[in-house]
Amino acid sequence: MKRVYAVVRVSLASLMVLGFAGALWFSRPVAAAEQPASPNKIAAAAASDDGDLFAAFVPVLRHPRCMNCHSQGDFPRQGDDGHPHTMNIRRGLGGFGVTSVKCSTCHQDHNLGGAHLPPGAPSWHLPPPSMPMIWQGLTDAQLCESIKDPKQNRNRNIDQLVEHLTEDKLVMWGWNPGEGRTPVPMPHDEFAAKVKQWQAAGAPCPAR
Amino acid sequence: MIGFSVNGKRVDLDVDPFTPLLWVIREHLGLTGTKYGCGMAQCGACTVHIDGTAVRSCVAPVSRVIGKAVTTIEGLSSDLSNPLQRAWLEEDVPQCGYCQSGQLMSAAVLLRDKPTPTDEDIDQAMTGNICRCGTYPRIRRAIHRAAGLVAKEGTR
Repeated sequence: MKRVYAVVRVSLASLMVLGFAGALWFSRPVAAAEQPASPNKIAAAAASDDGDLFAAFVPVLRHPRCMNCHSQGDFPRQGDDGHPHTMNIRRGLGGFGVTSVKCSTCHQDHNLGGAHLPPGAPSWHLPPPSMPMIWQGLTDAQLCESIKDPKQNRNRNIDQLVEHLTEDKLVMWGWNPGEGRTPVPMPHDEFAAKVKQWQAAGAPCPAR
Repeated sequence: MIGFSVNGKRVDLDVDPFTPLLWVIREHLGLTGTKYGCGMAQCGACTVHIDGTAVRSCVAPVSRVIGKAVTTIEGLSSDLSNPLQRAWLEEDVPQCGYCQSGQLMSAAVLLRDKPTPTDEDIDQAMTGNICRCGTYPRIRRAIHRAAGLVAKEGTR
């Protein structure tokens, strides 16, 4: 008699397992059933829900080497504390300074050797006042949306934005900021890979 | 060879491309009106024009001026007739005078870009030129005076 009960219990359990499996089979998306997703796509889809792909490289954007020129106010900032640029330097009409105090008055297209000497890179300048690209005070979601918005990013599409982030010589300066300045907190190769992974996933933004 | 023009004259020099422009101006060309102050673009005493842009010549490598036009204080006018130089004399601006060639070169760019500058324009334009004698109020007055001369006489 005990043996009969045991057989019945095993049979019921088997039916329940098969039932669950069947329900899962019929409830899954058709596309997923027909074509197995690549591991990258699965990871991207999972991350896009909470903006992890953007959050993975946002510490670079929020670093003083980037934020000192993407900050509030009509002037550049300096140092890791983001203090206003000494000498009351102003943004000017095109972002290149005013009259006799242009960025290129002191900054060259390369860093100068020695502490406290002006850093430099090709086309050293701030965003123009017509599109100042101020990131300071934005949430990750707002920052993500603003850098993707052609009306706020100098009419760049996503490909051009990624090129700016990963190849522009002025941006690249953040990895080689010269003596006495902290570089951005991620190797360039790693940053570029994360930006491109974000791009490949459709440049998703965090929910907030 | 590094070729460029200084005050309208073509020069070709055999110098290290990284030599600061200020050294070339003073040591190779003998134009000593441009002064060495801090050597790190902090004071403005060494200001010259490169293709019309005010530049601190102490930190600009001479390679930056290849094919370009450099103007030094000696090139502002040959006879002190520039309205700024006249205004500087009329307002008796300098005390020790060391920073004044840099002040004048910055003021010249300001007046070219803003012929009738406000006090704020002047402050923003002259902010990088330091004067340890504190002649700032006289500098401001002289720039206004020079602007008046330009407006009256039509020359800069």
